[in-house]
Amino acid sequence: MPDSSLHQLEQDPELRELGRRLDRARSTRDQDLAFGRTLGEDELLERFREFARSNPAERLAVTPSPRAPWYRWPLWLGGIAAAGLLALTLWKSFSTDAPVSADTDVATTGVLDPDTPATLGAADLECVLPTGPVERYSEFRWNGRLSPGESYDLSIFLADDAQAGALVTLEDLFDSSIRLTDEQVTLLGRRAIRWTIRVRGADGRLTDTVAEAEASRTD
Amino acid sequence: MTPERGDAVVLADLKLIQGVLDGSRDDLDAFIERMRCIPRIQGARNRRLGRPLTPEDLADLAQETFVVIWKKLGTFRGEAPLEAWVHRFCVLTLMNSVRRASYRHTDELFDVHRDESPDPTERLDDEVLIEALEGLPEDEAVVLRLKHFEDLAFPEIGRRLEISPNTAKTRYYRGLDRLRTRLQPAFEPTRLRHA
Repeated sequence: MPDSSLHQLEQDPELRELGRRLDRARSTRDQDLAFGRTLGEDELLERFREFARSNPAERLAVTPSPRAPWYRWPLWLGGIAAAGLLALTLWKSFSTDAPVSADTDVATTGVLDPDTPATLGAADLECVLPTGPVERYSEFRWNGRLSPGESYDLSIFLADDAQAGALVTLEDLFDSSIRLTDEQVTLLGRRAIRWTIRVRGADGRLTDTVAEAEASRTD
Repeated sequence: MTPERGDAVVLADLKLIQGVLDGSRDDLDAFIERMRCIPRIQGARNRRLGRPLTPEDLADLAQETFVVIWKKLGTFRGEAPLEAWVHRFCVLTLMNSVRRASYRHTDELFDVHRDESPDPTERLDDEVLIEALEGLPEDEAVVLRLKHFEDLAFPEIGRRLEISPNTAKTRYYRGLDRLRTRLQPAFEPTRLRHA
């Protein structure tokens, strides 16, 4: 927003009054929060508890629907997809807003534990820089190879809080990349994050973490 | 509350919610206890509006609201304390319920249950403002909430959202301007100036 427009808005008496009304709404909210005990409150809490225990809360997770084997896909569909990808690549290469500006840059380090047993066909798995608008961590990519029946699990944590659970968990991924939904991107914000990739075997069991990486803002 | 104290509170709340999402029983108990605020907020609001809802309506509404909050739990980002986040759902579900009740009971409803005369302007200020805020782009709405509901200055908002103070300020004024536009049908400019 140009400085002159911002200055105009700052001086706008209507906006100041609107701000005062928001302050008053806060005062009413504070009164709401200070409201005393209500009748039947404990009984209500028990009902909340019952509901919560029988309906586990869910993170924002994406579980892709089972995919049809590739050989059932008509060839022309592959052609369309390839043409689309080519068009997208060309468009991105000419797009003016594609470059990541200095204040939105992220530093990332792909970490691959060389001692990780090359089990489940995941020998050379490693995380790579998320692509796209990096400031928002919208897309994650990694290198790897799956054996039949295997899939990837991606977990994203806050980098500075290893004890906390994953903010986003994506299960049963068959590709080596994933694009997050807008809600998930919003959830991550621009905080420093750490993500891990694990391979889920055909028997449904997960390997230990086989690759992980961190990203944080550098500005 | 100092900004640092506020940061600690929201961080603790974020951890609590992550614990609930991870299936921690202790965190669930602590969370449920915090949800006492649902019937209290809605009780207070209902009273202020002249008791359009009966105690039975309120009990049903509290459960309905809890279900909404439970389903949205994964979207809690710890930008404001848990109760402030819950408050929005409480007011919005209450307003929907009051509207439904008013359709059922037509215009007699407010006269039957009213024990005080709510100022229509106050109602406009509060519920309509909160509803209009919900309709703004989230990056602007969150700055407005933090500025006015959490009493944070732009540098503190910037720190909490990990944006620069200038960006926070720009989003604030852009959001305020957009809020004014959204409120135009209900909020006459003359009332804004002279209320």
